[in-house]
Amino acid sequence: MADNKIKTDAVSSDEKQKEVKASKPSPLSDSATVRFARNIEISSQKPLPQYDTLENKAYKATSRGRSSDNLIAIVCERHLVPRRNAASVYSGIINPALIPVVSHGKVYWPPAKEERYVVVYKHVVGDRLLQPDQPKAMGWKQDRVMDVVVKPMVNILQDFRDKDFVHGAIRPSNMFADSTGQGLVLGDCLSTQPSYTQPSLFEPIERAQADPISRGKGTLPDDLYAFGVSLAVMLRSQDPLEGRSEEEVIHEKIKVGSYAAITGKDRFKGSILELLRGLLHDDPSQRWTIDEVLVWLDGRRLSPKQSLNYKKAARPILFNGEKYLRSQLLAMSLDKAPHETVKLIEEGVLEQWLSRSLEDDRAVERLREAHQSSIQYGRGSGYEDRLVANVASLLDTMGPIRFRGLRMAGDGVGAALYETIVNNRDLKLFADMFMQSIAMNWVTANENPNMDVSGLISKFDYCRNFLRQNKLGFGVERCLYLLSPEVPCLSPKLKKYYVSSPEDLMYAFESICEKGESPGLFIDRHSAAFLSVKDSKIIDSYLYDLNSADDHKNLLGNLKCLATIQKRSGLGKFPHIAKAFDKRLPVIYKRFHDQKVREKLKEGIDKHVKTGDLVKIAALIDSPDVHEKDFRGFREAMAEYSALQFEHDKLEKKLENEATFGRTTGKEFAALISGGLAALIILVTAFMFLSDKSVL
Amino acid sequence: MAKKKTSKKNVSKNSGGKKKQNNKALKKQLFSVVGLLMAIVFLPTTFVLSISMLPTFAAFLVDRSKRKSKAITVGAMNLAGSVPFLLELWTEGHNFERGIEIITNPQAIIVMYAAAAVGYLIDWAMTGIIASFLLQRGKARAKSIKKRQAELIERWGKEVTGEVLVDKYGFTIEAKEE
Repeated sequence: MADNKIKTDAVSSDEKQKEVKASKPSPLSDSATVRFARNIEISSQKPLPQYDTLENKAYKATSRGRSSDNLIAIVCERHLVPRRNAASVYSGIINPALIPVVSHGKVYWPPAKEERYVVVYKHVVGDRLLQPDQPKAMGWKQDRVMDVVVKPMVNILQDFRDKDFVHGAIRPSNMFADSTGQGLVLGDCLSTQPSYTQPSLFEPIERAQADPISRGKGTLPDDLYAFGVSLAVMLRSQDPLEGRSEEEVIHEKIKVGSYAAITGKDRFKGSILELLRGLLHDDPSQRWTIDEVLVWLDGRRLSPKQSLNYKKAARPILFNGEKYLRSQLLAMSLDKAPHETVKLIEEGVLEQWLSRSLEDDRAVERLREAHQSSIQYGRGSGYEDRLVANVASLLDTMGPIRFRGLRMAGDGVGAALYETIVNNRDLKLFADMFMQSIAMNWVTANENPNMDVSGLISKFDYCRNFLRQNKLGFGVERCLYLLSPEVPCLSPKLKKYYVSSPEDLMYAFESICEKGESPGLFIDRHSAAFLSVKDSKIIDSYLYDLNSADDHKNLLGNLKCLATIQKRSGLGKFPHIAKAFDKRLPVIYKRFHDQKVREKLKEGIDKHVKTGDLVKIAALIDSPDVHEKDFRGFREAMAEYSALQFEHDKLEKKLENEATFGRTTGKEFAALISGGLAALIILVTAFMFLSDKSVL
Repeated sequence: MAKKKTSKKNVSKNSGGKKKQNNKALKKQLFSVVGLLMAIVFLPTTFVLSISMLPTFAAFLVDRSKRKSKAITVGAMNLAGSVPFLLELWTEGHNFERGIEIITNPQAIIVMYAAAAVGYLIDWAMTGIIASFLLQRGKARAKSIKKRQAELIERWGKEVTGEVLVDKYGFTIEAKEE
């Protein structure tokens, strides 16, 4: 075992730490120790640059529980999306060759003065097997590779298969010596999107062509490919692709196949050759599965697979001054000269080449369709980009979406959109991509067997519908959260918070209100879209109110939405949010006609504001009975006012001439008195006369 | 068709109104004829009444009100003053000579006209008292209406007046600034 001790050319971690300390004075105060997950303390003053995952920085952390363990905390940058869901699966994999995750979640990160996602691993790793800046040829012997790498890695890959997990960062520079220095530990894969950290060399051709941020979720065959490349890098004595750019590496893989491109002049003997050929197969359906690797490991011989040869044209096509024999390579270059591409297509040169030199009638048919589809949206601005994207999709049916400089795998569009929004870049590209059927054309043309076609069609279709509506809860924001369910809410109001669930949103708002930084109305375009995707029942029924131009409706929509989250998630009280609402509630009180109802309502709400019960506040304000009673009372009052006014006007008119006022009635009354008196006199007279009493 | 129906309705309405008017006129005419016949049959009474009720005729001519309340007031008292003499006439022969005797008796004339004067007095006094009472009551009512209206506005807002532009829920439509 001592012979197998892993030797690395890396500078020792302590030395590196010293260097960093010397070059960068700590910008933090002494108290910059962050408590995380009850018993973990992350020291923001003690970076561990040797364990950084590209932009994501690693820091020293310690566990303050029963045992005082050394830990590594990787703090995720805002533009990268940590794999929160995968982290739970990952923690269920118990394998000594896999760096154990201790905890993960959001934490307030003082250097950035905002919340960040952090992944904490056990510090069981030594130095990297290969430093990123070192030549990718380690020249290890086969036996050593078999003992140190193949066996533990196959074990890990088996676990990944069982747990349906994709690592997406298998490469020698992410493999570490274990604490004993005799074993191997596979490093971080949770702090970024899968394959984000992988150089093109370690990705299958179709994934390597996509931008690192938007390579998508990946599959186990992709991990197996990366494992194969890692083995080749360890075994080979020289790097045939040294000094080549990422694009040139892909070109070489397409031209000669991955195996030949990676192994170069190195000739491997024995059983390892079969393994490398099987793992480096460019056709994902032909690539060795983990079961085949296990069979091979058991010593059974498998028939060597023939490498995939991309179809080569009989004659080259001249494009932008260069000759191309393979349609995949041409597809990669089309967007470098969109004007030339349009000429190539409209003059029929490409069609002729596909039909005569490549003899691909299906591609010819698709080219016509792509041309038609591009013309459908006009020949004005955007036509060239549209045509380039559509034609590239049909020339490279396994490749990514290539549109205006972005290259995205179907399930990587969300990550690209997220990065674009975080970096405040132009979002029109995505709107055009969905609205002008570029994404949909790509799905139709793509022949990648690992792609979830129906899922993507449905998602892209939804996106197109969301983009047609510019209301709150729709638009490009909704597309983002639909395509990237793991991204945090990007509402500008929540800039300093890492909000990944409706519950987080509530706590973030409570914290903002507690600091006295009331965000005005809580729900904006981002939070509405975020909530709509997370749990449509929370918000969809209030979208009408939230989109209303009336202040009271908007405020009520906000209140009802937050109250619903509080109720559905069974959350505690939010007195500060309630207080913030209370300040704005007069707008809603004004929507009750009756002053008495308003006062009574205010009294009731004041009680609930103190207890932070948004559900009860919303119930009081939005009671249909109270509204109906109030409106009925108002109508009655209106009728009474009108009747009184009528009476008053009539009275006033009569009172204009006081001299005649009531005289008619007076005269009538006099007539009545006089009549009554006369009748009495007549009766008495008649009686007296009849009783022989002289009247006169 | 609809026009025809409405015109038919109008025609039937007009004919109904005319019928009523005709009936009234007929009744009036019948009443006048019966009255005239009675006056001729009871000529001495007619004679006495025509002299004794002169203040009532005067009041009837002076009174411009529609209901002729003043004439009724004066007339009632005038009649009450005349009744003892009429009874005398009817019990003592009911002839023209006795009628002239009564009329030429100054005491009778004084009683009859004094009674009419009491009628005038009642009319003057009661009209003044009642009008003054009604005026005060009217003023008080106007005041209480305003007070109640103010209460309604205070409780239900200015929308209750119906003088401001409101939406279907009864709330003021704010004029939007351009």
